[in-house]
Amino acid sequence: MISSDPALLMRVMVAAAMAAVILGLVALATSTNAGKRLAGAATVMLGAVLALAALHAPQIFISAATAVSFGYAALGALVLIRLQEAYGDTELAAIDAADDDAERVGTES
Amino acid sequence: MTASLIEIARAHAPLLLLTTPLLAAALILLAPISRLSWAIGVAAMSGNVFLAMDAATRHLLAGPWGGDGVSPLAFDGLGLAGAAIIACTGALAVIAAGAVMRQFEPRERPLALALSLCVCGGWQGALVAQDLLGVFLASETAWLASVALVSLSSDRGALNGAMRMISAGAASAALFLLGAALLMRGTGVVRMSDLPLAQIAAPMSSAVGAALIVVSLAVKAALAPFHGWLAAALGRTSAFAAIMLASVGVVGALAVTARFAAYAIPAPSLGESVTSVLTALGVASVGIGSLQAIGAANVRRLAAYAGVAQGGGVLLALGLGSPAGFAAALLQMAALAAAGIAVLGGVAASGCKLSVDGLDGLGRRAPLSGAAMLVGALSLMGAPLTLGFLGRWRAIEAAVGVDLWWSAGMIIAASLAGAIYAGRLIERLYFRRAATPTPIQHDPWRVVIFPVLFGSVLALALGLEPSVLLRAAQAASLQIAGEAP
Repeated sequence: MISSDPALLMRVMVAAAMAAVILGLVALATSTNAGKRLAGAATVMLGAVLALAALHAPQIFISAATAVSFGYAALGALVLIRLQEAYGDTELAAIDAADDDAERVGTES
Repeated sequence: MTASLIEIARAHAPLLLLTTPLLAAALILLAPISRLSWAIGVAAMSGNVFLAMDAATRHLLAGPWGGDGVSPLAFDGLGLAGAAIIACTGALAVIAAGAVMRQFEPRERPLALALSLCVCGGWQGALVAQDLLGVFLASETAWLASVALVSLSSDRGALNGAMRMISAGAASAALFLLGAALLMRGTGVVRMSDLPLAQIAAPMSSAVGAALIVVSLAVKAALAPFHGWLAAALGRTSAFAAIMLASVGVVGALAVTARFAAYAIPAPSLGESVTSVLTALGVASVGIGSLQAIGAANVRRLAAYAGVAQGGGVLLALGLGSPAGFAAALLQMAALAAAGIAVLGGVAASGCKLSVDGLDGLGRRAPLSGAAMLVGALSLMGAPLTLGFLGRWRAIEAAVGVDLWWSAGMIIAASLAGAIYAGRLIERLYFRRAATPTPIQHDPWRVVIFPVLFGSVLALALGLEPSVLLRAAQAASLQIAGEAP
């Protein structure tokens, strides 16, 4: 049964938003793959936009948040593609290892 | 005619501080040659310096001033002082770009300059925006431009730093939005200047919202434990992006934090949560940043961790919640920005290796760069007669003034740690001989970085005669505190 109680609906939306934000933050903090981190960034921004809507923030705030979310997604996708081209991998451990090797060679030369 | 134009510019100075760099960025992308792009960038930032310093002189040094009214973009004390710092450091960084632009591919040079102007315009916009939406949009513009600038480096390692910045920035943006939503719902206000007098309907959620906004800004200011992105970005990106990020990006975020805190701390129900978060982040940053700076083997990472520790000192001063604490925080921010340019600019000007042993004997091989790095390092450790000392001294006075002796102790401990990591830089510069000296570059455009180094050294030497700076910092902090009940 779907409730029409606005207060309950707001609580459900806030809970869903918080869940998305927490899920996204966990993904950002623990993912070892750049693509998964980007997905985490998108999830955390989606949760924040949902929270704005649930808490009845001004419409312009929601529009601005949505625009910034797209900005992060677009720039993140560009960086992800360039990472894949430059390293041939998007696993952060492999990228860090390649950077450490390059730095060691640079220091010794 | 000129006088009337200046009057119009003065009347719209907050708007011009935001739009001039953004318009110049658009013009730069249309310019046919990269040196013309650089000239446009320098002209735009020089105009910004004029506007910001003129406003600071009229409002902060000429006596009591009650703020600029209710327009969406307006000066207030801390915002104006912060915008003046960002305008000056941004202008120095853009001038320095003339010397280090060769690190970019020719077709990417105008883009790098345009992005750097977006960084400056964004942070200046966040410092003059009166409502939370304006602060959010302007700071995100600056942040996304910073990410793009870092990723433009020809070293693929910079992409790793850029991806970390995307992750940190998204988390920060989400926390800001959540915090703003909770704060607006709990207090019913959108303008920050209304916070001190707001009727707070939901104290708990409002306090959580204010704390989330402070944490969000702390992520962008690279304060511990959220500072991992700064070392990754600075370590491998271009010299220009490193200077811009360390002296404009980090200091801009710190100044916006200071401004938000100045409005939130006097508000009933918000002050306690904001000061607690500021103090906790300040203690963590001083401790973790100092330890990591002592162990750093790369000059840029050392500068990054030193910046984290110095930023911690700024937050400790803000956490005192007194006008004296805010004035001390402003001085520390100015010192951090100038030291960042001196140290990172010195490294860029000399063209030395980025490992710490690349500095061995550099003071003799490149005396001007070495001297700038020496003064920057002295300010980082808080040596007497430098701006760094003045900021720390004022912070200690402010802490003792509100009986927070442990906070004064933390600031002294930060100075002692600074003596170790900055002392190591000085020892490498002047008391070691290089095993295999890096050849000094002889690009004729390299000379344009020397006025930049001189400017930063001059700023750090303001510790010798600080009366004007102290008056401005005091006026800036009192202007907001005076609005509080």
